[in-house]
Amino acid sequence: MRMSQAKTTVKQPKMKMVTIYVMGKKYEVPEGLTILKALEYVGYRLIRGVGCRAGFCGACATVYRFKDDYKLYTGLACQTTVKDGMYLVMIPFVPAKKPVYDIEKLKPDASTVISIFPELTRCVACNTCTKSCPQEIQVMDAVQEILRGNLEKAAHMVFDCIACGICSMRCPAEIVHYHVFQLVRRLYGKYIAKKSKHLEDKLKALEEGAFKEELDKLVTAGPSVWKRLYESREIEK
Amino acid sequence: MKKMRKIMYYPGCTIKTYGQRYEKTAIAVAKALGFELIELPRWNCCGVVYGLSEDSVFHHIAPTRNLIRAQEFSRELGTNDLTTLCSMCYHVLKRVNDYLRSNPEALEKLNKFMDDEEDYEGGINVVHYLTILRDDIGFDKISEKVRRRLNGAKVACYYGCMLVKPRETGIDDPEDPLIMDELMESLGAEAIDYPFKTECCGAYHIVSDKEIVKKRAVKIIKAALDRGAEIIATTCPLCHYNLEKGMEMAGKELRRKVLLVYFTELLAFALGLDDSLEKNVLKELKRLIGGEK
Amino acid sequence: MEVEMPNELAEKIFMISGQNVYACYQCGKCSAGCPFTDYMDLLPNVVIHKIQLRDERVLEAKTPWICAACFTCSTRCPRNLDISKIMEALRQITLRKGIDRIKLKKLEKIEELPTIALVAASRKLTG
Repeated sequence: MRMSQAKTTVKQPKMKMVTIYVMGKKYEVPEGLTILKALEYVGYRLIRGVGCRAGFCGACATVYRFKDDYKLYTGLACQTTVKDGMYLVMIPFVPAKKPVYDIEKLKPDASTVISIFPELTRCVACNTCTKSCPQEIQVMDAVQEILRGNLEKAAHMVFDCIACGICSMRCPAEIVHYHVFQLVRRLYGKYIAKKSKHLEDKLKALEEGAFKEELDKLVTAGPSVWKRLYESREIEK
Repeated sequence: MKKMRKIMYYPGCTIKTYGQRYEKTAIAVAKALGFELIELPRWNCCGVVYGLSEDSVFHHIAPTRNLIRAQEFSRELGTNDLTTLCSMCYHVLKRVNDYLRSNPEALEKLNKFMDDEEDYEGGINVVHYLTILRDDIGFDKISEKVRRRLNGAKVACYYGCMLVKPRETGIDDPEDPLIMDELMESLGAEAIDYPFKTECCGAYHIVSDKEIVKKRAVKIIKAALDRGAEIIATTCPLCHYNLEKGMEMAGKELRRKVLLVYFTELLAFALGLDDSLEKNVLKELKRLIGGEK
Repeated sequence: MEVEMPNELAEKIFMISGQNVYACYQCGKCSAGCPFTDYMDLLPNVVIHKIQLRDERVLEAKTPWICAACFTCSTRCPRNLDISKIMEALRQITLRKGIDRIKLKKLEKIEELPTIALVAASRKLTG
């Protein structure tokens, strides 16, 4: 059997490689990859510290440095591209057990939040949290707004928080910002934000059986009807 | 129309929560006397206590950041003066400012650490509200504007520690300050002299050792009561809280209760700025002093 | 300023507070004016004496934790010694080891306390 000797070889452009160090071990990876892709390129199989891969879930917190630069940089592995000389490690988990509280029994004020998270009073305004945030949230300012009772303002400031935990790892006062912020958003949503009257009315109508007939008809209609209804639904294409 | 003098104002966390009545009356009084307190657009907790470790600037970060905020705002407002009401905020901001002005090494270290801010250059003047009243407005002028003389009401001025100690930071003599007393006299009150007007209320012991605060409050209030005081005027929300809580805990140990107010509330009452006073405070003051303007 | 201290404890106190305990001549004015001596185990001037004598048991005394940093002693000391800074140094020696004086999470009725009190306590009694 003769092996075909194909003469047509497609010339690959030479890939530019950069050097990165993962937990101290040196690797060459193609330029332009995200840290996450680079880790998988060199053979890591990630089962923790990876999630949506789209900058939304906060699972892939990473810290890194460069030679001759004392600064500690932080970012999400799925959103940060590799740079030559990157010396990195992933932080797949930030330890912080969420305190248990009954949202029904809480008041939407500073004292409430401080009584659940008294370490908030240890904040020295060092701003390390803000510098670490991959979502560009003004973390220190949000903590300060909470200390003086402006929960509504704080809740809006921290809307983009994805609970990656980098701020909490670096905070010298040992505040766990994302747990505090979750409480503040919940308090805002429950007690301060305007109630949605039309939603309440609709729920009441549902409970009183306003749509019972229609729903019963739909439930018993069968797969061919459901398929037809689904395919002809109103949707932006 | 005469333009109102604008001064940068640092409120502090507690003024915005427990001490709202202090701020409301202070702003109203300032307006009536011809100056405007303009709150810094962005500020953080001052840290409350001055960092006493010489080998560390860690606790100076928070107050220095506020001085930088004032520096930024000073360019917009055209003044370098920063005022505050709370004695503890005043103490920390003034003391850190003085320290940085005389310690270029510490200033450089802090500026380097806070690489996310502009460098602090030491140009802000921290001045307490009482000093503005005495030096810029003048107690005589205030006396002329009084619409409700305080009828010789017996007021014991409680200065506490942070406003007058240490000597370099204080706004008046640490052993026998008279600035608030003189202000009260200019309003027509009788300032009671008593031995403990600068003795500590117990400060942060209210958090973990309430008994100490109770004993301190009893000592201070009893000394004032024994000399006929009907009202105690305070300048610090912590002193205010401690005396209030101490009075509550003391119960029958004190033969009668005394009305605790912030000095700005007495000023507001004397100047007839009833809208800025809390209803029950106004009621009590009218009852003790008389209501006619 | 280079100052040679006869003992390690005094040296440590000097490094943190900038105060030379050997300037103290035990006049007792600090203890006389201190509002909190009733609740202390050692008087302020005794604390300074113990540092002079390198008695490390002073680190276990209640006194530095009862001190409220009211600055009465510092204002009155005839030798211009800042005793409140010495008390802070004693507190810092313990706090910097990671040993807090109060447990923030175990405070009673914390929601009733104004922010100023909690922040002050955090600064002074936690590391």
